[in-house]
Amino acid sequence: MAAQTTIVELEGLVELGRLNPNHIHTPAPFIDHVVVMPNVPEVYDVVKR
Amino acid sequence: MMLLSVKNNMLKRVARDIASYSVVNLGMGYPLELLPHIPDDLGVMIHSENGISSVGPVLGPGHADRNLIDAGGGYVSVMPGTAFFDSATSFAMIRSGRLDMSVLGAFEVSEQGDLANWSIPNKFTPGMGGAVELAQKAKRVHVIMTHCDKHGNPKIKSKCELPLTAAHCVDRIYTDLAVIDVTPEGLILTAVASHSSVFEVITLTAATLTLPKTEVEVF
Repeated sequence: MAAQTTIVELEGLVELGRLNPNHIHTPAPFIDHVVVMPNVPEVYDVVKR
Repeated sequence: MMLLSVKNNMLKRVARDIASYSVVNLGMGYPLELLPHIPDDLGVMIHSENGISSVGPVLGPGHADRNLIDAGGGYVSVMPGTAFFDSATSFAMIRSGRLDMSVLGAFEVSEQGDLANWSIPNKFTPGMGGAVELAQKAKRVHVIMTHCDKHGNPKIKSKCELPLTAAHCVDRIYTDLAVIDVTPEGLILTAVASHSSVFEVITLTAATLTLPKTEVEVF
């Protein structure tokens, strides 16, 4: 809410209307850009300690 | 009372300035009457300050959901892309400047773009609702109102007499007679309704109006 620009990294993009209006945490007016990442790079994996 | 044809002509002119995929909040009265004039394929997201983005069409009594109303109390619906959120999130959205446009009604607008639309002392006080934030924080603030009050007095004045909702906030005024831009150089008469004239608009405006550098548009 405080940022001037909001970029969303997505693992899955669904068609318009598939999301339940009650389940949305960050409504569209907050989002400026969307990056779809179907193949998430290794760096996003669970960190092994 | 405004003739229906005059009102529709005005609303059509207002709707022309709404950009595709923009987030727009519509105030009560004339602004909400814009809905049928905004093409569906424009992808405009209507915001309602009680906590809805991408508000769906208003429903008749037979289909209405009593738990789903917009800020004006109208029975609205969901559409693909609708999101619900709480009041705090809704006003965070407004205050952080996420609304591209706020369209409001008004009792008076001044030469400097001051807006008075919440109270006529001792007469009528509908309350300000979300208008203070909407007027201050939306990227563009457009006002729709009758050019004169019911007694024929101008509502565009060099200075507002009624208590202000917000100062220096209005970008553009649409009336049954004209489209007027509020600029650092003062009020510019951008367009005139086809049933009116530049002379009539200047006569019925209690503030200095400047003609644009280009021709005055007729709508």
